[in-house]
Amino acid sequence: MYPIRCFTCGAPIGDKFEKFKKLVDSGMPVNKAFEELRITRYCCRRMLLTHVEYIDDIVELDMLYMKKKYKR
Amino acid sequence: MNSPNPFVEIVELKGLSIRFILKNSNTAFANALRRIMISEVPVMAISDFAIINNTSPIFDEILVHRLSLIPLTTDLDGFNLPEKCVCKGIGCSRCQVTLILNVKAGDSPVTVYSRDIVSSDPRVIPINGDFPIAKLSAGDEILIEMYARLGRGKDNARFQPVSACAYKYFPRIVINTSSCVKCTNNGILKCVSECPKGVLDVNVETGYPYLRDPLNCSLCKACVDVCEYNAIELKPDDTSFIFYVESTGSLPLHKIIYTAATILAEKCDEFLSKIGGFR
Ligand code: SF4
Ligand code: SF4
Ligand SMILES: [Zn+2]
Ligand SMILES: [Zn+2]
Repeated sequence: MYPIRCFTCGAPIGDKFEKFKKLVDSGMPVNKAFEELRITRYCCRRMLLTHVEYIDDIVELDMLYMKKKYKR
Repeated sequence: MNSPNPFVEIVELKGLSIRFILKNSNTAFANALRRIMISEVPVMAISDFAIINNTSPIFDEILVHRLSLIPLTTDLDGFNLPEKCVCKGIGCSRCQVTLILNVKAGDSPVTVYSRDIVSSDPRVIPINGDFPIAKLSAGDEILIEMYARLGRGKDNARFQPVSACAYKYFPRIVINTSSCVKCTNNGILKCVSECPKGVLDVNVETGYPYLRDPLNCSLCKACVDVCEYNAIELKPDDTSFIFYVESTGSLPLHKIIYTAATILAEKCDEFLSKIGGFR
């Protein structure tokens, strides 16, 4: 899952990933999205830019192999 | 010492970040202030856990780690540091707050957010309800009891009230007008075009370069290195410091800086009383 704080400076950024994803998915350039979310340092920017969210795959696997289907 | 009294000039206060200039001071004081802001100003954070149930795909350790890093709003006057509390660190209502996280997923996956944390004290809550903590698949449950207390950044990073906290010397650029030949590069003064921050400019009256925006100069000396005539000199002013401080949101900035100064004064008093009678 997306980290709560920036590894380097400790700024709380966990709440920003979903907003960032929404902005970028809606077609906003990445630098504009950073400005919108007021993320100024490059340590925090790389946190958002390089994150790969794989928790959804884990949850999906969990549902499949733990025999927990969405609808039974 | 009869240097004039130090004072602070606020340049910019924007939300959770502040930029100020500390004047008539010295490196020792500026650095002490910075280090105390980072490591000694106490702040609330979750530090003890009782995991009653966790069937989510997130391991207990990671869950606990994530929860502890969420900044909590802090009331410094309302709580004691556990080691200075009347209960001697066992935990009482004057030094500890209980929070509960209880989420159960139905037939579809659920994301657990910091807004799901229920605090027993309205003064101590997550600064923001949007921090994702975990994801549950169908039927999963998380039930954790958490205890928040005051702590210091030197013990653990979760107790740090500031994220970025730094200072630099106030820059001063001195042009030796007898050796500066106003050399140009594509029509712009060489040192002006070399400055990566774009803070050097040409003085329209004299034609010599000058530092237009000292606050944003990074003291990189690129302008000094490019000059072939040794006409430009960078002389940082070691009595003025440009501070940049950013709060995590637990404490307001003025409170962080004020508390840091108070702690420094207390430390000095303690030092003086220990060495005794040298006032
Ligand atoms: S590079 Fe040196 S000589 Fe050229 S304009 Fe700047 S200070 Fe003057
Ligand atoms: S030290 Fe660097 S940032 Fe400052 S004026 Fe010179 S080139 Fe520009
Ligand atoms: Zn950062
Ligand atoms: Zn107590």
